[in-house]
Amino acid sequence: MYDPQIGRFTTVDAFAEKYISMTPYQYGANNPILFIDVNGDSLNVAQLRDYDANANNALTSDLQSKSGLTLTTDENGNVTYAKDAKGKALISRDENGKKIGSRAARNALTKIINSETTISVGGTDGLTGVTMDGPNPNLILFNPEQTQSTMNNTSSDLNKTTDGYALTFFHEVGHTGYGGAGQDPPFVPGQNAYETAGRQEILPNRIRRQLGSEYGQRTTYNSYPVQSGQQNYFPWSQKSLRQLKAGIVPTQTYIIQPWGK
Amino acid sequence: MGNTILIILMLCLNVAVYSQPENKIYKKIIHDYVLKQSQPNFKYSSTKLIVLEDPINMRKLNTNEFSRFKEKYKKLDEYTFIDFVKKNQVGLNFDSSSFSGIDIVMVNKEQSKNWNQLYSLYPNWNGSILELSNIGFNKERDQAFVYYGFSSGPGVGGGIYIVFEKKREEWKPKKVIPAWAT
Repeated sequence: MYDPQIGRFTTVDAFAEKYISMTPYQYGANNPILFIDVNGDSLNVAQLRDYDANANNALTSDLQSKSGLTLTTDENGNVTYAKDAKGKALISRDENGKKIGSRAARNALTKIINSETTISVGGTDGLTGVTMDGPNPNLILFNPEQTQSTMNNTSSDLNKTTDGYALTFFHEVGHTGYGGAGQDPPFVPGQNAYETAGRQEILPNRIRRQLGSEYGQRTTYNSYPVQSGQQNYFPWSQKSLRQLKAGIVPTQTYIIQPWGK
Repeated sequence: MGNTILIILMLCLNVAVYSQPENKIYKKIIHDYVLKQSQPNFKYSSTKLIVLEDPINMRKLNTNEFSRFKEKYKKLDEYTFIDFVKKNQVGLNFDSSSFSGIDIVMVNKEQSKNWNQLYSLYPNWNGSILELSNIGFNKERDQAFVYYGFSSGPGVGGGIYIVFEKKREEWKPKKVIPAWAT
């Protein structure tokens, strides 16, 4: 506990062993504003950092931008966020003093970092996703090439990160054990993947609404083929969905599915 | 006379193939999970499907993982699970020609990576590459365990295990266990 009278913390930091150069009572190196307390190891990016450091930096940066939190990764890959003296999350503000990012993203991310479950993030050259039947159902694997291609294939009227690292991360969290092992529409009885984006997109779409209209809304889970299958498009608005249903190439608010090779 | 006998024999063979539990289960999966996910207002033939020769996104399960699956479905018979694991040590044994009215094309892993080529080769295709596993059964052959997955390119796909149980000669899905999601 931080005692403002003496300007020191009076209880032992649970993660004091990570700061061996300090006494156990030097919470956040005795500066609760500039230093970040280790809250736990509930979000761990060590595997992604080892797989592709640039991708890990991009994920951290995008999560900061979308949440307004200041994130720090320790040497073990544990991610934490900066807090004020009262233990509340410090939120970055723009030049007008307005909080940046989305409240929904902030709440979801702080909840993850403060949870008792560890969500790990790694890399893969396969599909970005979660192996739900494996020994670790809380491991999210990113294919950095896939995420980069998706951003490159986003229509110019949309923010390139509307399906970038952070928003994809929040989608994948819904597939983890922590997130309730949610299924996408093709496997949910009564849902058609060409009509709905599914449960995993409820949070990402809320975040997009809070970030601004340039983020659009993912409206379906599946992409639509047009022009005799030369391209597949994800509609990112009701208008582009209507166009795709009519077999027309959308004029705006879409993402071309990156088929790759 | 000889021709008549030959036709009768072929009809009997057809009936035998269709009545195999494997075919009944595969047909149920294709009906419930593939054809019901058709794209609205589109011109493709939903009866043209592409199936992978081997389910590349399915993890190779080990028999000692049974308890974890049992936790997800208490009625899962250990024999069913072990039979599934054993049968999937080898490649998929799937007779694509036995599905009348559904044109099934089998592709290998390398072919499955070239989406542009698949679209140009099969313009009436539904845009999904399907994955099926061999089916494990219990001793009584009234419980089955099978994997189904699909991929429609980067960012779209998933896989599940389905436990089927036979009641009054009909196979019904009793439990879905998620395998992977993207």
